[in-house]
Amino acid sequence: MTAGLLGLRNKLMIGLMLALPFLYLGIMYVYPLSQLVYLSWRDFQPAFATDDYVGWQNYLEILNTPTGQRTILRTLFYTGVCVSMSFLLGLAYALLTITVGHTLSRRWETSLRQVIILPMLFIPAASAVMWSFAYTEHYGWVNHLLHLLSLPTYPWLASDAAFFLVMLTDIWGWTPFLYLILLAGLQTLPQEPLDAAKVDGAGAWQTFWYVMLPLLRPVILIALTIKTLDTYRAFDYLWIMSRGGPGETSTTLNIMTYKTAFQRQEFGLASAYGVVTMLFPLLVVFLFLSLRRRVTE
Amino acid sequence: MRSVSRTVVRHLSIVALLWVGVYVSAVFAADKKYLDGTFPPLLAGKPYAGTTIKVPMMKGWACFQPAINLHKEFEELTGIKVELDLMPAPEIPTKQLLEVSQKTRTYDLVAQGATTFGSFFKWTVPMDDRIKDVWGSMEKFEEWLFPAQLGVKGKDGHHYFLPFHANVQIGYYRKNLLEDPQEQTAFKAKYGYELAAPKTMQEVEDIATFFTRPAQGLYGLTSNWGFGAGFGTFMDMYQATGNNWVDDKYRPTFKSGEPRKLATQIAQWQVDAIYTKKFVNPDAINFATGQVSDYFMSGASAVAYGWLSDYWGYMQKPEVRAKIGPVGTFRFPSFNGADAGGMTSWWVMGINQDSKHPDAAWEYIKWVLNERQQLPMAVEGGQLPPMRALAYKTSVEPGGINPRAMYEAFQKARIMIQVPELSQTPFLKARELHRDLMAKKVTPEQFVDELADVTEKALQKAGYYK
Repeated sequence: MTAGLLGLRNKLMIGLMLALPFLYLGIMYVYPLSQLVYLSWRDFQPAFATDDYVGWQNYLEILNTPTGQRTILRTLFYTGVCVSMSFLLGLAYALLTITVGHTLSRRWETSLRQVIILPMLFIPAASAVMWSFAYTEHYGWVNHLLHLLSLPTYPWLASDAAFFLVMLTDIWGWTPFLYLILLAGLQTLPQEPLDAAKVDGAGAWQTFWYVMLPLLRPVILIALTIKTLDTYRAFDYLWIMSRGGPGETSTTLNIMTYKTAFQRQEFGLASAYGVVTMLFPLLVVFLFLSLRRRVTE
Repeated sequence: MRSVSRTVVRHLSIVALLWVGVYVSAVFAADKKYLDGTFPPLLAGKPYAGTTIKVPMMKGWACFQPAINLHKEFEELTGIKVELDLMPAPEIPTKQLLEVSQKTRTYDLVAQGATTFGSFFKWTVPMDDRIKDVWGSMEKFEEWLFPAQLGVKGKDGHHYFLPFHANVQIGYYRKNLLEDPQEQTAFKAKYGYELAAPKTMQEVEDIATFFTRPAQGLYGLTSNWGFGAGFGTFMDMYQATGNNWVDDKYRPTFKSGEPRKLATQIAQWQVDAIYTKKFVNPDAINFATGQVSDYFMSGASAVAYGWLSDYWGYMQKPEVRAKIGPVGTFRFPSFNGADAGGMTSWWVMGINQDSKHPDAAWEYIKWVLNERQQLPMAVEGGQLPPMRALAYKTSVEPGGINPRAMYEAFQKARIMIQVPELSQTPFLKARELHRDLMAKKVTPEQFVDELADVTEKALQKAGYYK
């Protein structure tokens, strides 16, 4: 075989191998996304047999109405609170675990780690059902405890507290995930800067703030990005525990998208909600990519 | 020789007669159109043998499970194989609507409830010819069923759907509480009349208040007012006052006048029951029917109101009786004393235009309506058969398994969705509004007015008026 033919064959092979992932991307990503955007410009309601082009009307309905605006703000609030609390708790647990390992023994450290990651053993849907029961007025152990302490009981999930309780459940469920990432990060920090800080007379807090945290930045960035993207898309806890209620007090973008599509059967508007829902993660990924370079430098 | 000949002749005659009998039977069998013992009758001769039909149905529905358990019998009788697509309740309208409207030919028939069937008129075929073929006339068909069937007719007067399940909201009470002599004495001392199953709304309130005992973990009343399902109880109570959703000019009846006053009063009552008078457990705003049943059967409430017939069988079980005692039923009173009948659940099947096997689907629909299937659906699933005679048998005749109150309630119960368009935005918005009402995000007046507004807009858009 001549060199030319060999080169051509190699190029064909490379082209074929590259074509497969692009084909996958095209079928699994580009096509569904393009359909989503296409539908978002239409008033597609099978129940009315309508499928008309409406331009940006669906987006205006989301961005210009109080319901749409509140849903967006609520989603950002939910994401912000859950991510920050999970991060802070996860970091605190990780530091505690390392401290326990250093001051007591490895066995205590292992035991503590196993206790902290227990919530990860439950799938989110099962956790949501479990916590729903915990908060019920009649059967729930939360009210039972309050009753034992002679405190007034409360219909937790039938009140405005429902949204905050779902956030609490999300934090409970996902803190172990951040904890494990941060713990791994802390355990792989180079020892020399920490020893140097000690030699220089830095206290625990100064060492943590000025030495450990900067070194931990790449890990923190990854952890926060993953957690933010995941929390923003939250559905299971919200749907199972509160269904977006009472009223709309715990309706986030994902819940609204689902309800608009599968309850109101307004697929055009639901697609617009889907596109709007996508924008924030795109921004997060963009921020992650631009910050990552700065952090690693 | 003569005796041998007589014996031979006798034997030959018997054999000949047998052959004649077999021949005649074969002739009759060949000409027999329907299978014996089936009504609505199934075709004999398995003309659709080898066909597979795809049937959508609600997952985990106790009422239909007995029919599913008998699918093998249907396959043996007709040669038609049934492939079920079981889906969660929220997906029932949407998934089927998407498939039939996009003509994907996924399903061979549609199965919908009385609140969502309206969206399917455009996509299903009229069944009048098939009905006349079986019942002889439309009048006989309509007479065979409860009047609620008239509520699912198309605007063109044709029948597009046949019912396979009927249900109605009634009250359930614990007899060991309401019939307890000490409770009766205490109640009479407090309220001045005998404690019994309530006949007026005031009595409902008095009894519920009397039995609300937080220290004992007992509420007087529970109901499914959760996630918009409470709109069903609202409409049940509203229809019981003699009003429908829209009048004969398709205007919402609760837009003004006495009906508006009644609607607001009912909405206010539901809110007060939880927040002010506190005789309904607050969790009721998150309750679906199953949770109401669990709550009631755990002994946490004295009375329950809702679609609990699905769980009537469970209430008779020894372990449940040991906990809450025997359970009685009553027709929930109306706010104005009218005996007008409330709202009915009426699940129906229709044949979609893009069905691959419409005739086989029709055999299946007929089979589901047979007593062989309807009886276990009543016994095990707690539903009321939609056929008058069978419903009478299961609930009024001695030994009946359904509560009598269900049959009585059904005499005048009506479909909520009077025109198909009410199934769509108005119904969906109504559920959202009721949820907001129960979360005290809107007042009863706002609830009624916004519901009237969304109803008018939807019917105006559909061309009912300008």
